[in-house]
Amino acid sequence: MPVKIILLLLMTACSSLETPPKPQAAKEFAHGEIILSTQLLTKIFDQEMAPIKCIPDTDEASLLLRTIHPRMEVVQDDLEAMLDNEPEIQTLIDKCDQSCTCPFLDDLFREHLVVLNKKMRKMLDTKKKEKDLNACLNYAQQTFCESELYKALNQEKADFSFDEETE
Amino acid sequence: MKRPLMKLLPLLLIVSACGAYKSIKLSRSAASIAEDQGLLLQELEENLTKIHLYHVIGQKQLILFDEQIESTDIAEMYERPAYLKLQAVRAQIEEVEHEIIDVMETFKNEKALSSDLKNKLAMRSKINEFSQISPLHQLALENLKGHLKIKNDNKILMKKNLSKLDIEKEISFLNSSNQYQVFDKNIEHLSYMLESNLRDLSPKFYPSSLKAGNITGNEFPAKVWSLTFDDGPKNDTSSQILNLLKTNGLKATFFQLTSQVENNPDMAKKIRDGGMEIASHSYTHKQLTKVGASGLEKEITVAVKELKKSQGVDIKFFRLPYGAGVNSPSIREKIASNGLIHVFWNVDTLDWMAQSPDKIVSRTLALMKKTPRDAGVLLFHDIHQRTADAMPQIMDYLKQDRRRVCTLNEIVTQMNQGTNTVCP
Repeated sequence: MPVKIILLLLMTACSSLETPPKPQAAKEFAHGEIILSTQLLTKIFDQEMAPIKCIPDTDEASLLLRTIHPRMEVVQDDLEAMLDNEPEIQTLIDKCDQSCTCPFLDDLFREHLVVLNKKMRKMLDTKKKEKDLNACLNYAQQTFCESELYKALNQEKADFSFDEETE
Repeated sequence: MKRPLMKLLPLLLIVSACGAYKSIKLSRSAASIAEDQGLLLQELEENLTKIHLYHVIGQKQLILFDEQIESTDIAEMYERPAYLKLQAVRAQIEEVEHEIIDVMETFKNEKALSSDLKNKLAMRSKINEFSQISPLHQLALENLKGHLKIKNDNKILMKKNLSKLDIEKEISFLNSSNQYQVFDKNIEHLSYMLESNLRDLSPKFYPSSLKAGNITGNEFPAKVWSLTFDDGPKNDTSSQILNLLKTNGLKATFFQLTSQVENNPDMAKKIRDGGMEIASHSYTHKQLTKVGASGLEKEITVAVKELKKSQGVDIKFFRLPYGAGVNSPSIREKIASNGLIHVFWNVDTLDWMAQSPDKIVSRTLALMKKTPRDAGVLLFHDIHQRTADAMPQIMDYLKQDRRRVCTLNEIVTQMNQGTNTVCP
């Protein structure tokens, strides 16, 4: 009898212990949003853009850049995998102005020596006007702090933080 | 008539007693003032002699230091006796300057002393006499001009620059003085103490989950840089970077992924045979804050073991993918328990992102200029063409202005030995 009681007590105690939360899958975000956010963070890190409320200085920009890096790596890998496929390149160029990724794509094509045909080159050059990129960055500047992507990065950034002073 | 006088008698007695007491007190005060004045003057004189001697010793070392600038490396300069003695002299001079200021403050705050014109003149003439003995006496009071109200009207003050001859004259005059020799020995002793403090016997870096087990580059001696490349090897880009390093006579540390070494064994060997340092960057570049204990075992312990085996070299340094987990005690403990020192960076070139090589160059140089000692760890990735394209300009910059590029092992070994003479 006492053994049964002990077992019962043990079972009750164990069942009341909190089960560890299941690891949540990282939220997926559109490639364009990740690229544009990375560019915004880079501009603030390079002090080419003024800090914003949730990125008050270059240290915070640097931390968020480290945090977004794994996501950006996936985006770059995905895009690089498309570089051998002309129809996919055409689709990327067609949509790049909507996602504010035209200048980024142009850098990627140059680096990977992707030769665009005349029509695609012209289209990309027309679409990647600096004025448009600035408009995109201004938009990102105004919306980034409220975005779901920022919320996700903000939750994850502790893993990437490093404070030399408190080491 | 008598009665009122009688009544006043006690009062008269009191008054006369007070007078007598006052005159005794006055005579005592006069003696004490004279004594105080004597002591203060003596103290002032002793401190003026001290400050002069320390300045002479300092000037002697300054000549030696300046003579060595052209022929000696900058980091080595700071270990030379001349520099260490200058540091010791500086500390002593500052102490004596404070003592002189204290004497003058005491004098000013003692009303009885400062209100007496004779006292004022005695203090003033002591300082003026001292400042007129020689240019070096004048120089010794340079920092105290404001406090001592030294007039800028004597001939010595007109002489703006001290010549080497002035200093040598003063030194040869003092060389026979016992006091000068005692002070010189004192400075030598203090400089030895400074040197032993600099050469702290305990190593600065070693495998540890605490600060000693993590390098950022902010600790490096002035003008010392470590070029580091992550994520490789990759055939074409690693090869271009290796050739550029060889052409420029530079060495770098390659934080390799074991999976990449397995995929590109020839390139990995070329980097090793090119005299570059091999370090680990995990097995597959997973974010180690998300992999759990078995993942850590594979990404750190197994990765390093296999890298050692395939490269045939000892692995001393590890860098976390994305720098994730550098603050995690369990991850840092795992790195340390494998005998590794973690390497962070103080210049993030952000070359992992697609951009023009020019942008990488301008950002890298801007960040390098912001480091406090023009020193540190540069983070690059040898898997990108843009990085290879940016390298010529960055290497050119690294070779300018007496900068030195060393492998991490060279820097750590020499810093642990307590020397700042890092790499050839």
